[in-house]
Amino acid sequence: MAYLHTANIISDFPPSHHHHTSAGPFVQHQITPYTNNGGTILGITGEDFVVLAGDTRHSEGYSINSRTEKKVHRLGKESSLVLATVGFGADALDVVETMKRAVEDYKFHHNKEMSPPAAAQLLMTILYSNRFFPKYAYCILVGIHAGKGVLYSYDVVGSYSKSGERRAAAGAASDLIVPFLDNQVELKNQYVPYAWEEEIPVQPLPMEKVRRLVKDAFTSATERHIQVGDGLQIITVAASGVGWGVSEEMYELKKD
Amino acid sequence: MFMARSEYGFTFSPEGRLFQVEYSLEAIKLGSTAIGVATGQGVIIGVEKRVTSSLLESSSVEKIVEIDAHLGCAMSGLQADARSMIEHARVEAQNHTFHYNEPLRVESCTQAICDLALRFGEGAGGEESIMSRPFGVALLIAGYDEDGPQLYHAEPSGTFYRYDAKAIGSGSEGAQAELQNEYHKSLTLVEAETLVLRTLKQVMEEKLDSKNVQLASVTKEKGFKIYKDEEMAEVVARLGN
Amino acid sequence: MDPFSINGGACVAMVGKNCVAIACDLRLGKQTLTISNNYPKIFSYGDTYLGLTGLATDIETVSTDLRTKVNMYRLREERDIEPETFTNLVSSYLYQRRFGPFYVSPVVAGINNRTGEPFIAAFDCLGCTDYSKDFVVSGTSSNQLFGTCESLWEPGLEPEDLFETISQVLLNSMDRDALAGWGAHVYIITKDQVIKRLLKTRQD
Repeated sequence: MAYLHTANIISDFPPSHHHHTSAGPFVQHQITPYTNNGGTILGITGEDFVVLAGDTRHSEGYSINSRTEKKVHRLGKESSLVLATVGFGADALDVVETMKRAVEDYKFHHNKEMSPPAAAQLLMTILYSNRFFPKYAYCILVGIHAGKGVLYSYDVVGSYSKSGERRAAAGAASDLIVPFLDNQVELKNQYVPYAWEEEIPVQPLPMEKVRRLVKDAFTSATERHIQVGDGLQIITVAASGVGWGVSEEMYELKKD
Repeated sequence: MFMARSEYGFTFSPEGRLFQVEYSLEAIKLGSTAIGVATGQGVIIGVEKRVTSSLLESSSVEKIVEIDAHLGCAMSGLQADARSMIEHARVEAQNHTFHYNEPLRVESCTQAICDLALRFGEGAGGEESIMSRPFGVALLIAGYDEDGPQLYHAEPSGTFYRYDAKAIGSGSEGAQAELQNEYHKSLTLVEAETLVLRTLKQVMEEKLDSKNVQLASVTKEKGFKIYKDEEMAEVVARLGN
Repeated sequence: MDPFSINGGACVAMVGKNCVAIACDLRLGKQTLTISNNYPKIFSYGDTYLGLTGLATDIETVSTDLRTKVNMYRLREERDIEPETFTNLVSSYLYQRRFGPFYVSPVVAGINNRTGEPFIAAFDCLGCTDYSKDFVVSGTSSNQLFGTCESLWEPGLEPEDLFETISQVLLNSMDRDALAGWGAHVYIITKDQVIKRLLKTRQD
């Protein structure tokens, strides 16, 4: 096992404890195929819009590589599709580039824009095609479909819900953000005052409220997670009548 | 003369012609007649079955087949060639649904079939050739997508066009003339059934009955449906004599 | 096999306006198997409250050892122990086991009897004290608790608002932790009264 050949890097990962410690005639070079680059992404849908956000810190261990690396990407100039990825930066970007190309190709082949449900299924097939050497990228895909904001979230091998979700968070601080979203978007554990066990009905949130929740979630995550901070990129896709529009805003987060 | 032509094989003749492709188009003119009519309500495709013997089981003559729930096609020419084209189209349609969770568009399906049509000869550009000659079959592809009901005609040359109404095969000249006269944009599906059968009847050598013709429809509501014996009998009865 | 997450559990304490609150879940588990849904993790030592999460056997030992020590303190001093003093006691007690620690993460909450100042603190298992002016958390849901506390807590909450806040924080955090939940206890502590409430929660 100690010095077979370099093509064995996959089978040697994670490093086994069976390596010879004495220096043999060959030196075994180990490569680590994944790095955790931190960061967090978050998406929330409204009735006729959807917001997708991510912080802009890119880190490796205790080092910060960049304070301005964006994680949220539009998939086409004429498309409502927006994809955010976190995990291993290189894999995350590769998934985005693959999707961008697929969206472009689709337009040439079928003379129409790829719909969010189609893109959702495609992203699943792309992620699952790497089932045995996964792209270490957690994805949230959003867009406008039939005048409504839609959102899909994925694990690294492509598992997702076809019916979409109201909100999702992924990455380093998802543990911190998800229960907050449960409470404020899904209204979990909230009851009508003085009415015995009557849940407050869930309804789509207005855009201003959604933006405020996103900023609150990220300032909180920045406060308590070392891999989150520097900047916040928020992309809003809003359907207005038959059309739709995409806008981006940037906010400062703490840099400590 | 024949030998002189064939020595060009799969490449251009000095006059700029591809004889093999032209011959394949000739082969289709020997095929049984197939007709398609597109209306706002759906597409009707119909074929004559050429039941050559009273001992032949007419239901085993399959000239209209399903590609997907919303796509069907009628063929004229070498049926065996159509098998591989249709198999390709079916795989293409299933692949599309698998990748995109949506039905394949009619034009995309036609394009996919035509992509296959030119894979003969020595194989240019590095891709492997899979056939020694062009296909000897033409297809009428009927389908429904977000642009409504559509009818396409795909040739062995790999070109395709969309039609309101189209006839292919041995009786195509006469049939096309009839369609030209009778077609109008506001045809109903029922009128289209009658038009297809009436046109077939005019160009068929045998006397048309419910056994030697086959109809199929593609509609938004029901997708692709081949007419059952009872349904065929009903439409044929509506024709009268 | 991390001793801190075998039994599961969550605890949180918060400061309000002239009040403090401390809350815990009621689950006791053996890894993914739930053993009990009535295992409170908050213990009172006079008017000072201690929350303990971690290894259940150590929770028992630490809470009873501290009971003995607080009783001895009261007999010698002829007064209740103040939260600050209790915090120092917990810290020095845990540090005695520097090289064979109790696998617990304690949380202290109370109001100083003399000054009326709200007080909360938390520790690691060796007794390193984390004094805080807003909130402290411990247990298998600590990440979730940090996220919700940081987003929902605000300064100057009145007792009833503090109760609502700490309850929402604990409930929503527990629901995202498979090892915590199955009911909760909440204590709202003011200078002249303590209100203990049992929260009904989802039972999964």
